[in-house]
Amino acid sequence: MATAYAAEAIVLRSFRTGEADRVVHLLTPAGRVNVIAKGARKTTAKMGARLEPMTRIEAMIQPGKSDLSTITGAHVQWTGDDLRRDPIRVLAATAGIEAVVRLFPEPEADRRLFDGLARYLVAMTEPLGDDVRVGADVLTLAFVLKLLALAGWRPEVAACVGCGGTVEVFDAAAGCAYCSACGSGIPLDQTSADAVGRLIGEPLGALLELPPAQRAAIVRVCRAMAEEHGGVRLALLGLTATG
Amino acid sequence: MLPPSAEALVRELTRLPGVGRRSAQRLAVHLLRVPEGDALQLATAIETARARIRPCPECYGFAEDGLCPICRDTRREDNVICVVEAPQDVDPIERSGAFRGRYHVLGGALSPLDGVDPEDLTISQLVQRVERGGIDEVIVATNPTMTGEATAAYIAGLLREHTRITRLASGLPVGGDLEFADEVTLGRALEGRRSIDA
Repeated sequence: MATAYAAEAIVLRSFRTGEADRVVHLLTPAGRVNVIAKGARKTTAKMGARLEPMTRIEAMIQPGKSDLSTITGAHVQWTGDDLRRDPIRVLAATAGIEAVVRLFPEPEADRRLFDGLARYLVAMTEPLGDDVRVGADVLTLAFVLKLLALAGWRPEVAACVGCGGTVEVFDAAAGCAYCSACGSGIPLDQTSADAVGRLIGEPLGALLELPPAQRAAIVRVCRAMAEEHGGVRLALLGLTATG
Repeated sequence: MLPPSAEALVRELTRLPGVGRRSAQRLAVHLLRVPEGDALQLATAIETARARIRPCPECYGFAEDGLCPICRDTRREDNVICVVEAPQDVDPIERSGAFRGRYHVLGGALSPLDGVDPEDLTISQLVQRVERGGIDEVIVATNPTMTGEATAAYIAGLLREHTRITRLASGLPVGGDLEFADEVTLGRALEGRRSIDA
């Protein structure tokens, strides 16, 4: 039997299984790990609260014969309880988690992904500007754009890549913006394109307010990139302020 | 190696929640060893239950012939509704003996990541029940998980203007030791502390 190991981990999601168990999807710096938590749903289980989505833990993992390992212990590093109790922030953070789950399905080591998700979840508990719905939405857009960049799909939108002119459309297949004379694609105005650049370039939480039209345009860009290059749909993105 | 019909039985049993192949084999062998009448009683019970059990038209719990026994019971309090996620959640609350009102079974909890939206649950039916009037309190007893909390918050948002909304308390299990409590539960227990009446 393989040796048990300790790992820092963020709980992405969990499902009920068996009598009182849970299957938990974890993100560790060494990649995605799926574990079974025996008896985690019992009210006497100490691990139940520690395996709620968005919690950061130090997990003790016993590798199994199959892809499913067993989690034998967990210590909380960050509870995430403040986040989970605010439905607006939870919905936004669920969109961020969805993006991690869909864009990074492989069990590959990526310390930057782990640290980025940890920072994003903490940022989601901090003050989010005058309108929490908008702030949570914009924070999630920034996170998803950074995820796309980390996956190697950074949208190039500073100017039309054909002539250097004003941005008018975004071509997801090419991953870049054009003026209407040089290319075609989904609508993207220059102001929204500039916001994309700022959201990717500035630290998480630096920008928390964007008009609805710009947010909608950026959601379209993120979704188009994820579908075109990752073959995945980001269904929850942008719903916090609109849905 | 089991004969094909016994193997088919094992296969069906492994489809039950919490039953692995080894347990299924043990159950199948047991069913093949007991008198035929006993084994067929189980088959008949499954068949009858499947044919007769329907969602209660009032609370959406399990019912046979119209309303469920709790909705039919005229001695229960009509002005309090306890909202639970699943029909099996009614039983532990009934066993507590601390609740004498009515129930409403949602059929799950909101989970956008898994595609469970408000339309997939009986939330609109709950709103209709409350809007009919006569409800002084809705106790939201969804599980203390992220999805359960999100569902509770969503329901509270819909019903807050119509009636009083309360949530089951989170805290330490009776008979447990403080030193073994987890951080989140203990934190919530501290938040929800109450004064001791002399």
